[in-house]
Amino acid sequence: MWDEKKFFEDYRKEADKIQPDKKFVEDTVKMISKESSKGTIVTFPYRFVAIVASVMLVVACIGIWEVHNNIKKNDESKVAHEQEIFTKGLNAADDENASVGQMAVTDSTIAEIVQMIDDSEVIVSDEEGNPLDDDQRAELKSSLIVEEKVSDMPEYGSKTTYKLIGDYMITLHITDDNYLVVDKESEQTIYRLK
Amino acid sequence: MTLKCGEQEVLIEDIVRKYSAMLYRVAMIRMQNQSDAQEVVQDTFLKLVSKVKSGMSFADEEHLKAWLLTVAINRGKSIVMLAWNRKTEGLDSIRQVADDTKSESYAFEYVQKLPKNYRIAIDLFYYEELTTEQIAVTMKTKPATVRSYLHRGREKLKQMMEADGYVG
Repeated sequence: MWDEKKFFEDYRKEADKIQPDKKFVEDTVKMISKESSKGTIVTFPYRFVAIVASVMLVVACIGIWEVHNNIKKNDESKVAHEQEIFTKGLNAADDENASVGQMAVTDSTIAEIVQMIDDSEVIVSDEEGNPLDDDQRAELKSSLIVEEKVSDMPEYGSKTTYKLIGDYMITLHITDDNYLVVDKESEQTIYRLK
Repeated sequence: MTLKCGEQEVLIEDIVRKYSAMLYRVAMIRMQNQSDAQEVVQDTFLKLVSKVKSGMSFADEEHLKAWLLTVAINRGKSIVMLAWNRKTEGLDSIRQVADDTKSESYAFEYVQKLPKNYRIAIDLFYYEELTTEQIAVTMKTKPATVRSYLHRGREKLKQMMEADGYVG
């Protein structure tokens, strides 16, 4: 039969002999004495610090990745925007060129007329040959604001005619429908006024 | 530095000298490895210093003893949980110690062959003479579980002894 009582008596006797060596105990006493004299807490939470550092590293990586993505996205949208502006610019430039060309024609004719009205040596008269005074000249000039150049001859009923006589003669017909017909050296140019 | 234990002020150094052997033995039983056991002992006392600095005191010596055992056992668990400590030297270290304490019964060595909870419960019960309730607090379990550890531990010891021809 197993003698339980004797077994554990023997166990106690044997376990009694499981002792740390004296040097270890004295080293531990010294260490604890040294640590207890310190003002700070001894056990440094390495594991906690490691976890916090890992989390911070992951957050930093995500942050850098986000920033990188944003920069990339911004660059792409900036390029797209610049491309759009460039395209619009090209289109606008085309439109402007076209319009500038058109206006150049318009301007050249109208500007010539305006220049003649301003020129005191040019005789500006009505249909019956009565010369316009300065106020009437100014009124005529101010009425010459062109909307657009048109190709069709308007079917004008009543009109007011002016003659500008300088080195050459220009005849202006301003209709009640607000059209301006310019006769210059047998060439007719028609505008719609504003 | 002193700590308050009941009405007494006790020097920490005296506590270290008094309880080093108890903690070392429990740690050896838990860890079955001398260097790990030494680490457990030192960590336990370092924790005591830290607690005393933060104002901890003990109701009496029993309270202090139970606290030290609890910390040592838990510290042992933490060390075992570290992957590189799982490949322990097994029983070699403890056998070396047991060889020095050889008697006809080899009781200490047989107890070391038990699962860790069984051998800790047996040591605290038969050597430290703690009650099952006190062991339950130390091992953070229920008294019924401790009684189960003790019962099964004794059964296993008996079986091992019979198998080896020591009983019968």
